Amino acid sequence: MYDELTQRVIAHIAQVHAVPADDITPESTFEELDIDSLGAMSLVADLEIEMGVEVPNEELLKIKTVGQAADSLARVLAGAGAAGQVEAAAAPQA
Amino acid sequence: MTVGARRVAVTGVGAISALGADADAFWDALAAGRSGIGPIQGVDCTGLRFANGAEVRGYDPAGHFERRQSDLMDRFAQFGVVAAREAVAAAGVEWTPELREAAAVVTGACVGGQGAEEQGFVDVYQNGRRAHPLTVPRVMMNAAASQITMDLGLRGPAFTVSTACSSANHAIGQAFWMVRSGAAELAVAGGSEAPFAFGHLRSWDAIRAVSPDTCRPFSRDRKGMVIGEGAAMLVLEPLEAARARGAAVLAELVGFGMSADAHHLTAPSADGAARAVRAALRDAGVAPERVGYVNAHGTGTAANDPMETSALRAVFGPHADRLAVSATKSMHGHALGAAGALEAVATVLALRHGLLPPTANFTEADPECDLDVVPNQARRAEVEHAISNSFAFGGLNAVLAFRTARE
Repeated sequence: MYDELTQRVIAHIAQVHAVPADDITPESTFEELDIDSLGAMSLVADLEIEMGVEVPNEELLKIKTVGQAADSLARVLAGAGAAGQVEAAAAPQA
Repeated sequence: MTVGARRVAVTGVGAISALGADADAFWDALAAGRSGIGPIQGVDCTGLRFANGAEVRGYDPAGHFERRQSDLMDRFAQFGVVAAREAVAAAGVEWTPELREAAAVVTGACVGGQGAEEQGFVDVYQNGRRAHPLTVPRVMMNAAASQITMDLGLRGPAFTVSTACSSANHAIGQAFWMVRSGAAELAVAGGSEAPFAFGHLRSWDAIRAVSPDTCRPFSRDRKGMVIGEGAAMLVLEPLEAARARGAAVLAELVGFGMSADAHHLTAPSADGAARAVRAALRDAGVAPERVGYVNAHGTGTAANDPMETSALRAVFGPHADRLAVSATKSMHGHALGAAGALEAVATVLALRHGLLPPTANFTEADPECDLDVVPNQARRAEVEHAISNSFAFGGLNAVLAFRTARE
């Protein structure tokens, strides 16, 4: 079973792109999932808004797989925790 | 009409509005004189001087789009695609690769992706975040036109016209001229709008043109317009082509006229309006006496309705007393960049059914609006020609002229 964040990324892709969740793994590339670069950015943005964090711009464009998206979100979530919930305070839905 | 030009048929219409999810629901409400104006549900109107609007109720994007498609679109573009699909299906168009390449899409919008834009501003200014990466493609005024081309696979001339409340009439007029001249073999034309976003409503509140209760065009006690939303699209094609494929012709689009007031940013001018009506009749080659019905711009504001009355009197002279003039904004609200398209559909269906939709919410005659405004009850009437007026903030006027297809 994948970690919680990976599962969340997979669930979001499954919902938005109508792909069966069972067909998505951390190694799945967005290309394989027929998600173009705009779609990938949009996907990460949706999750960022849900979680009240922001992946750094320079990292955003390097995300090519489901696992990379989950890892990037995990890193900023950990950073946000350490940095005193700056992002979380800015985003009440988190 | 230009020598050698083709006649242009309306062979399909689609509409999503406060009066319902499709053109049938739209027409049923118009025919019954039933208004779609009610308390605004999509936006908290606390602090505004008005709380009523003509919203599209019960709209669920999932009923029309896969999530990956609807995610790319603001509500206004979704409405546009929904109405375009309905119009094309109703027209029963038989697509060939050649026809797709010669098919035009011309849409009107005045506000555009306001919901997406305001969310972007909240993220940036209030939440200190990046805007969503889809903000720009959701907001852009041409989003509905672009999405319609992609959804229906139409590859000819496509663009969006933005002339405030005349946007859709200008759009339909341009499409009409393209089909008439041969620049396009078919056109999907209309307008779409979804202006119910708090910041935008605040701006309307500030200009004090919106009624605190309802929209009563031409009534002495009218208090202003009521904002609406939705989309309407028409399929236009050469009359001969429509007949050749056995399509039902709903009405003929016969004329289009434009003018600029060059006068005032918000106060309308009867001279400008009258010149646009005359231009449409001249373009159609139709004498004023042959017009039986006017779908008025009829916003229900203090300024518009007497101005429109004197413009119609100036054009039609004594015949103005024999004209039926109704303002269907009393029912579907003022849908801004979509208004002309909803009213064009109302006009086409009025000719089609031989029934003139009324001016709803009418209470008391105003001597300054002394026309036959078809108060509150639809009227059975076989009309040969009808015009549909749109006059915009900024003084940009556009009028369409239609002819019945009934024998």
